[in-house]
Amino acid sequence: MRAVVLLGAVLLAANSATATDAPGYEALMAEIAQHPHRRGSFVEQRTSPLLDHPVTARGELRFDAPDRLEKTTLSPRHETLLLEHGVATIVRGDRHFALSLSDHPELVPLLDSIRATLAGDSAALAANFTPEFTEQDGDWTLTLTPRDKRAAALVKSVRIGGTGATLKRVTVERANGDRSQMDVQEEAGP
Amino acid sequence: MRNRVLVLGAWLAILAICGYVIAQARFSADLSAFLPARPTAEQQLLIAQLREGPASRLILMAVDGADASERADLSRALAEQLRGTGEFSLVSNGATSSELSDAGFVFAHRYQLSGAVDAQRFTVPGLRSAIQNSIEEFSSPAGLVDSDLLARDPTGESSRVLEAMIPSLQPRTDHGVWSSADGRRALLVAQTRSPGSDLDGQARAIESIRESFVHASAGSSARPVGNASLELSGPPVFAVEARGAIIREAKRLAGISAALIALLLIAVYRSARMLAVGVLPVVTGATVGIAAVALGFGVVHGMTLGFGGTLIGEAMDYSIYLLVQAERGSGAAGARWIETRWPVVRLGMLTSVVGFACLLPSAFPGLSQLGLYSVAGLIAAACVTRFVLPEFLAEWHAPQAVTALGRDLARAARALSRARRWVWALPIVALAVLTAHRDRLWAHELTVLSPVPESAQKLDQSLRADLGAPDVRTLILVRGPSLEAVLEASERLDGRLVQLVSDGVIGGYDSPNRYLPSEATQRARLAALPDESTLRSRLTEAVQGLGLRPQSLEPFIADVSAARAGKPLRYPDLRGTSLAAGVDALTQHDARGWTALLPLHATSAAVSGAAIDAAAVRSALAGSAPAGASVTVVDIKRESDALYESYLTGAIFWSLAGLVAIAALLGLALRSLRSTALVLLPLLIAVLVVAAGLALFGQPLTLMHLIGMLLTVAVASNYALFFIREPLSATAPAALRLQASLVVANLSTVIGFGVLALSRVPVLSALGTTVAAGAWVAFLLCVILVPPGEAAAQ
Repeated sequence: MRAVVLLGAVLLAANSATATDAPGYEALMAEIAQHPHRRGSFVEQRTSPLLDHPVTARGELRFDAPDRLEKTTLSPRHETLLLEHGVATIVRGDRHFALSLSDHPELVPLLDSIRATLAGDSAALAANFTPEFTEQDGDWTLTLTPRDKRAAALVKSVRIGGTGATLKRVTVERANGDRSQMDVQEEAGP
Repeated sequence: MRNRVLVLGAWLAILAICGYVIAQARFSADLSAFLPARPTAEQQLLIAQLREGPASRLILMAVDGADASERADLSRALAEQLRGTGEFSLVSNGATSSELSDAGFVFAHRYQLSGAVDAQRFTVPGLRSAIQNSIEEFSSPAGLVDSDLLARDPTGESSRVLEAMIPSLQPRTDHGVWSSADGRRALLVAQTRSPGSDLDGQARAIESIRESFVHASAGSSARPVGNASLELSGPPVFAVEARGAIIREAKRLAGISAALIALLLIAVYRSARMLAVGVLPVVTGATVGIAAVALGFGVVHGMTLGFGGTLIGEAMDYSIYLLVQAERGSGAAGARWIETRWPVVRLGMLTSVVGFACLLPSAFPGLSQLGLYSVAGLIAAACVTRFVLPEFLAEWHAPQAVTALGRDLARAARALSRARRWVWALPIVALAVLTAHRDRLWAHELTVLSPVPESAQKLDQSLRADLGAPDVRTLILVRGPSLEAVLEASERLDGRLVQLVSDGVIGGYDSPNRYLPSEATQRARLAALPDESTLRSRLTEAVQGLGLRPQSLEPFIADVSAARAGKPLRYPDLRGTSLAAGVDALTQHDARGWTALLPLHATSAAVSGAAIDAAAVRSALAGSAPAGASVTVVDIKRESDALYESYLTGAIFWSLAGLVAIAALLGLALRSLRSTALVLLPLLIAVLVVAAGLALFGQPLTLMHLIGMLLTVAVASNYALFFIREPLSATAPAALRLQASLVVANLSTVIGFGVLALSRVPVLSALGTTVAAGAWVAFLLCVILVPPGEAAAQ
């Protein structure tokens, strides 16, 4: 029994090693972690097999290391997602919905992938995803595939792209064919 | 000898009978001591709310100390532990809204639960606007809306239901859990399963919170959090602490004052045996008093026991009078005391009995019990002093040292008598102070009687403010014969209540039909759903131009068809969900039927204190009750304050009546207007001075102060009666012993009640302050006012 567990652990370690052994992953993570406070605006396009046209949302992003991410949609309607210390709070008007990520691991890829990346938290990324790193001409892409079965039933992959320490684009592919692409324009950091 | 055996036998027999009665008696410690014995229908509803209502089961918790992330970890660990205990129907700390955990249930029954479901919603324009809205939901930043949800619930009923269930006022969150507004405490809320009146159940729940906290801070997390502390508040905590506090505090303080008084008496008597003998009247009085209350009322309030100390004030004096005054040991000493001094003590006792008897007709069970307890206890104590104690006097050697004390008093009296002409200024000044403070002389709120210390009340207020859970002051109570009847009746209020919200009269309201609509309403909703082919054709038309392919909504059509064939939800269907908890929290039932509770929230501008205009709500709801149901608007704080106000007025009236009765009794016994005036004056002035002193210190007077004043008159009437009976003397041995006995009696009263004044329980300290100060001032005034040689003239 013990051997099986050990074998699993070795496989796991080997697996993630091949995924992120590309030169520059750890360096990039370290570089990203140098920017603990980020502000930016975003434009997000949601497409669905049910819809002929994408739904476009615009808003703002705020990140404060290590574990606070605020995503506010300003149009077409005002709504805020606040990720803080493992709890996601959705604020709509005077109502709050809160849910703890530990109670809902299936929502981690959806809610926590950007925060973990911006925090340079390679341990959290490795715990929840199989990360794959590629880099070309200074642009990089980190493709995250959920490990949790229930999460994988919801989200196929999260692709995070950027240049240097700057976040550029987040693409989420869902198992049901839904897709969202968020283009981020970061403000120059302090 | 035969006589002695007879007396002792009778005494022991009475004690044994009373002991038996007490052993059989029921003791209670709940609020009912403060509630009327014969309530009106409205008061009955109020009492049921205070004792059993959902608010009575709410415990507020605050985790203090450590840093924000450690507090958040603790809050999570504590919530998890508490959910595991099974003592609570609800534990919230903000980490996951409990409503969301029932999202699956809500989704499956969205067409029964959603208030938006009606025929209009399923017309072409109704469907179109609802679907348009749902497509926009795709822009939500959390991305929780997806194609699967759109295909099955394109009109967004499930999120509508969930949203309606989430309270609009919520605390701030820090590190993912609720925190106080200043960010220094993590907050949690739990509702106990056991009803508010089940104090043992509440005590168990509180104990499990404390244990869980110890576990949470020591065991579960990797880093033990040693410097974090837990504070609890809320009605169950108050009720359980109140049960313990008065009795514990009374015991602790009674222990201290008993020790101090024992020291004093040992110093005077120089005999442990006589000390024991001297306690017999008090013990007998307390036993007889409690037994009388048990027989008269069927139940003894903890409060009555708590004030058992009132007896020490006077009953202890009886034995002091006998033991200090009686002459040097001979069989005749007792007989002589009975002949000369007993009539004075008897008159003093009767004065007190008349005073306390006036509490008997009070509508306030706490007061009438105290009255009966005192009347029975004082008579018993005096009788023991008169009939039993002299039996122990044979070997008694009256202490000689006390004569020095008597001589000191005579000297002090001579010095003090010079102040006599100034004493008349005292009542004038006191009356002036009382007149100046007349508007804020009396406390008018029930909370002043609460045994909960002010600091705890402050903590409760601050936690409630932080939790956005202001004390529910105004409630609508809908009564009817069945759950269905009250659900229907409260649904009929919805329209008017929504109007009141938009008029700004109320900020919002809760209602059990958010969690369980009446069957009639659910049936109407299901009947409003179109059949399959109608819905399909309407959808085709409705989605034109929305960029949505109508055939992708087949799952929706299937769900609607299934819902049409379904049945309305009934209460048992909700079992195990937070919806059932919502219904439980807002309904009650008893032998007479069901009650739905609709708590009203103040507008957000008014959350901090300002009240809802209950009269406006009442007039808006007038005539809204269907046949067989009733709708009542209750302003809990106003009703309970009005209740207290009526007790206070009643108690003031009966106390004044008692004063008149005491004056009449003294007039009859003394047969002299002048002597009666001389006895009453120092007592009245003392009461005025104490009241003025309390007013000067900004202490509003309460029922307990009033009882303290009554007790002051009872205790001090003995002093005055003795002083007018025998002139002060610096030489006559009998007079010296009398004087000494008065000094010792007064000292013991001041010590006993002075210790009580230090209590943190407001009712005890009010009583202690009043009697200690009153007895001391009255004693001084007696010494100053009663002219030496007064009795020589008689």
